[in-house]
Amino acid sequence: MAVAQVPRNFKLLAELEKGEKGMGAGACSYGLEDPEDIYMTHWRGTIWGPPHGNHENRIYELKMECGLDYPREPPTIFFVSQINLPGVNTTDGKVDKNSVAILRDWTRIASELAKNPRPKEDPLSLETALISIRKYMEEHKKLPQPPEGTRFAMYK
Amino acid sequence: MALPKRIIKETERLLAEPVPGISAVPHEDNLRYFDVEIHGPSQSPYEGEVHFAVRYRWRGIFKLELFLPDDYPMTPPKIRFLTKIFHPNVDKLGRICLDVLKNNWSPALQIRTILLSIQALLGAPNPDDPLAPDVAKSWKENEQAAIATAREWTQKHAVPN
Repeated sequence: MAVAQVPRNFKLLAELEKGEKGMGAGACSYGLEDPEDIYMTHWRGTIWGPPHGNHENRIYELKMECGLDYPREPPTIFFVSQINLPGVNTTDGKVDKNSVAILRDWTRIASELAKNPRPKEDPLSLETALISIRKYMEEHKKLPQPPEGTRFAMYK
Repeated sequence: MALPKRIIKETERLLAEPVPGISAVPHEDNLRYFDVEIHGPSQSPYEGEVHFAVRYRWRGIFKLELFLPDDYPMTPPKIRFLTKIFHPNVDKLGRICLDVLKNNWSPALQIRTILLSIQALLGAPNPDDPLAPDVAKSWKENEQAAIATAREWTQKHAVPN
């Protein structure tokens, strides 16, 4: 049975619709930065800080960019809220894709998905990227953090 | 990856006997993904003719993208406008509210019939079943003004290259 490759735009539309419905537990959320962005390039994301550490009760704002190669290539992700986390650029908040599991393995998983039938739940999406970043934050929950509500220099 | 016969047949026919004012061409690297162009129907605000300059006539051309999901034709094609359009049944991301794309889909319908339905929708906007509430509101409150705006958007965005 042939497996259809869902084109970028239709995948992003489906992601948008899922994000608009909300995601239950509510550890992360995301949506388009501009509701008229027809090519759905610029997104906003939110991560509720994982509990039992210095991220507890904090809300982190992120921005994400899906290029024309998405989902073959991962989204580029930036923290807008200031965070002290290895692999996050201290000026513009850019997340180094080598520090977060799913971003690091993204291209490999994408090329496997192109060959083999798709699992029911899409392992590569803005949602799974945010969840993976949240998990990475949890692994570093003891690091001291800047005062709540501060933003990286680029977004002040 | 073999493409179902049904899709091959539909594609061949679309290319060999195109519907007037409509074109649909599959991507080389994804034969389920089509670039679509629909001409605005005549005597609609999407027609694209400039009224006061008779010598300067052109057609509004609207670009869309269409995708046939895995379970097509059991489920309808996915389709949206890429060209901005002021229409009560099309939202800001080009998504279309049309019964045959949802509950009234039947496997007996085809890409061709869907594209014709969309062309017909351009000729007959339905503000009572809106997808863009603000557009529908202006359509109901002042139809002449709404049509003028639709015409303006056509001149601004649906210009052939």
